[in-house]
Amino acid sequence: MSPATVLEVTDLRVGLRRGDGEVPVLDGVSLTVAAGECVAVVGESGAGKTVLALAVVALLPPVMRVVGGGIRVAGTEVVGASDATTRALRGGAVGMVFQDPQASLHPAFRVGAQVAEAIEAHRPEVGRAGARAEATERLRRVGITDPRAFPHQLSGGMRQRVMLAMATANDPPLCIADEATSALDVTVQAQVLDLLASTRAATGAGLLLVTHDLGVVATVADRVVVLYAGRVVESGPAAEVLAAPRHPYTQGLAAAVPRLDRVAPVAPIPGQPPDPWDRPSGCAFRTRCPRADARCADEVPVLGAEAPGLAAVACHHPGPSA
Amino acid sequence: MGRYVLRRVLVSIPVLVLASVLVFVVVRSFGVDPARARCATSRDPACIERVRERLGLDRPLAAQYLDEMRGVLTGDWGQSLRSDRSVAAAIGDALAETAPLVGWAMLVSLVAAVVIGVSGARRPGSRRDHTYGALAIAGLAVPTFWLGLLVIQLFTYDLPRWLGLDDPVLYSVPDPTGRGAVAGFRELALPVLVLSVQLVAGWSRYQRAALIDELQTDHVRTARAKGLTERRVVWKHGLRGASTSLVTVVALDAGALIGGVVITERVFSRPGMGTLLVNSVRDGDTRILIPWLLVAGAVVVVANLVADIGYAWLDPRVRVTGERPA
Amino acid sequence: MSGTGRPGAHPGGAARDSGAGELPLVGSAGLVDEGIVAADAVARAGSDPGPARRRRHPRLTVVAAGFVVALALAAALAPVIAPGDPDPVLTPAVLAEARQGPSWAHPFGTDQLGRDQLTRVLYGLRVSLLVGFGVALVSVVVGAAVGAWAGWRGGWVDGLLMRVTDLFLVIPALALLLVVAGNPEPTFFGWFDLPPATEVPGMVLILSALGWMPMARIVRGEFLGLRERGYVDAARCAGASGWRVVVTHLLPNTVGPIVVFGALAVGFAILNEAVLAFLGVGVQYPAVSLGSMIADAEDTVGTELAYMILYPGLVLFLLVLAVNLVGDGLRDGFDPRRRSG
Repeated sequence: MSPATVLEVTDLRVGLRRGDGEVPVLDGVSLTVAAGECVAVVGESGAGKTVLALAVVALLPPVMRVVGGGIRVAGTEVVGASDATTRALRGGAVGMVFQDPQASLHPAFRVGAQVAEAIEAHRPEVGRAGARAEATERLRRVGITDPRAFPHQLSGGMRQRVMLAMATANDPPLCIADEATSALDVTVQAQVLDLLASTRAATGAGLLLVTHDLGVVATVADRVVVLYAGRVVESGPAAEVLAAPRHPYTQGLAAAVPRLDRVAPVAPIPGQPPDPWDRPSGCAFRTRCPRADARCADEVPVLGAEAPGLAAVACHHPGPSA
Repeated sequence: MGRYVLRRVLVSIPVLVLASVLVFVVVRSFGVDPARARCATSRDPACIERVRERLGLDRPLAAQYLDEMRGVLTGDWGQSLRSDRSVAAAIGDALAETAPLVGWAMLVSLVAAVVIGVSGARRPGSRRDHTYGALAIAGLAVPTFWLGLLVIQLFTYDLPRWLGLDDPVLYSVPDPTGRGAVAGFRELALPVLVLSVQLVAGWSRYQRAALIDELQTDHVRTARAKGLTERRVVWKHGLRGASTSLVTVVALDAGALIGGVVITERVFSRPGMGTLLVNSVRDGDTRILIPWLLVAGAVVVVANLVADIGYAWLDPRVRVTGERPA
Repeated sequence: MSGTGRPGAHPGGAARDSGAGELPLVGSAGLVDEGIVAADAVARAGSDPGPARRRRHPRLTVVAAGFVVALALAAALAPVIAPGDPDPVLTPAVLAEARQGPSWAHPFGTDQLGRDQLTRVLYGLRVSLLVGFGVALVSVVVGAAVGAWAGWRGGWVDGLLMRVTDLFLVIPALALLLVVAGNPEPTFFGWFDLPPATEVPGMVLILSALGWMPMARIVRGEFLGLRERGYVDAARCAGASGWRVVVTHLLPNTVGPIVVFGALAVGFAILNEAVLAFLGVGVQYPAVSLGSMIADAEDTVGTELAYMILYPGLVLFLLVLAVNLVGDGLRDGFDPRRRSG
């Protein structure tokens, strides 16, 4: 792992516990995020994107647990780490921005206090007054002028900016944005994305961007990782994957986006993503794939290696769409 | 804020008035005739008539009620129909007896309930949690009068005997041996304990359930994602949102306890508001009953106001909407 | 036992909860929400670790139910299995048995007059069980009917229901109960006679008169919630009459809360009756109530006769505990979040 890698996920497996056993929600996911890089994780709901994000900060819900693989954040292993290590990581090495700022900010505390709390938790030497002052400054930088406001007094976009300030309060080397713009209007989305970019530029932090919105990916991502049913099906530089996807699922995703410059009708992918306990054998996508054959049912496709100019793909029949 | 308070008070008045009318009518129509009770030992056949006339019991109900209310509102609460004792004195004494008991019980119970509730919510399903749950179910099932007697047996008789002491460890009657903090503790400890068992049983489970829900919310997840210690997450972030329901219940129970303490009062020989209620109902003594009702109603109103202030402090959103959170 | 509460909160799951006052019929806050509140209290007192760690205890519920059935059988067979007579003629032979501690001949001992305590407990159990189940039944039936009506119709009926139940918050239910219960010849506003509280039917009537209100509010709340759901409108579009919708759609979905409330109401009624008996109201001599037995034994605290307090109270406690456990188990059983894992 090179010194500039802020996140390294290696063959991560996460299981979901049910009454009758455990089913996989993440099945051998690997990816890396370098300093200053923005990696987007895309997929439909239920693909495991949020699970991945939560696993990095060890915030999986009690019904889920890591059953294999590793996660290294700025050199520190997360899986199996002690409580103290985990706590230092959260907010210190990793800043998380969640999807719904309305629900994610505590309604009873002023925004300035919430940001200051993040500072004090990791840099107690700053002191209470110092933390407050710094919080006010950081909020000002993202465009919030009144640190004494309560979350309900702010608009959705402003709340998300507060979340951003809070997540980056300690200039963490890794930021994770879990559907951070999904609850916002397009114009506000753009502002938040801008802020994310400028913060990254200022601190050199890496960004893991979880989203289902390919438009967002196209705007900000350097690299893309496509998840389906808990597995990586395609990964590579964003420009390539979006312009010339080789996995049928990615192609389907790209084709399903309504575009003003294309007259052709929007083509949805038939069927639904499978539930974790209902995954088809072999390649999980085969039930919805136009190229599926017997081999797809028997063998799980393995993610190939990335080559210059070529994204890595996990498919028995990769290639441009017919 | 002042206007809000005033509005709440004004809204409560008609309800109180209506309640007082209802009670008055019911007690007068279906209850014991105080005149009859006073004349129980008299041989004079005209006694009842005479007493009724003297006390004004022969006048129409409406007139009696209006007189009563007028007296209450002007501060002249008159004398008890049963004993001619000053009503104000009777209620004052009763209140002085009940207030410390209920006050301490609520304080102790609140602290215990929060601690137990938090403990259970942090590790739901653990052995400790199950134990607390079992104790709570038991606490809600136990008949208070029985519990009171058992507790007396244990602390006033058995324990001293086992330890070879002369004095009861804790008293079951108001302590004649003087004042002071220790003496006060020894005489209040048992009744407060008995009252608290029930309160804690209910409150702790309520707190636990509310906190479990709260700890699963997004904003608590954010607090964890910030790297805060679990203790801070639970006590500062979690408890804030989880306490509104507890506040409601505590306020409710405050009002309810005023009358509900009668059993404890009886078992521990501390006649207070509860006993006064029961006795005045038994005697058909509306002169005491109506002011009692109004005093109790006032307590309920105050308790609810305090609760409302509590909501506003706990959840700033309430300050805007003025509505109680769910 | 706990009791007290305030309506106004959405009943059912989010209801208020409390363990206030030792009187189930607490002073200022009437019985109105006692059901909702205390029911919720008891329900919450059960283990509820949330969907992640929910563990069921069907065995415990079954054991508790079995215990209740066993007690009911024992009470029913009291004349047959009791060692003695609950109200014997005080012959010298009987008096000679006085003041005996628990033994094989008298498992719960005898009192100052030589009366076997186990016998009296069994007969007292009869009263407790009859009152408990009677009140629960009447409260549920009347409460559900009124609540359904109010919840379905809305309008002035609903408003009236809410105001009436609100009123009983301020009125000390205890006061009303004592008044009515103390009246040896109660009448329904002079139109017809009612059974007095000294008999079981009268006690059932009195306690139900205040006990139906929590049920009504629960059912009303459920109906209001269910009405918002689409299928009610769909049914009416399909031409179903109001009555039909209520019976075939709304009521079956309310069965859960109704059954749970009913089970818990039994416990409350049992304790309420005991408390009233302890205060001297209710079944009178020669009938026996567990509450009056304890009241009679109050003076034995600290003496060697203290077992006269212990056993009746213990039976009462265990009975209510078992009933509450059954109620809690039923609540778990009806939980819509019933998913494994």
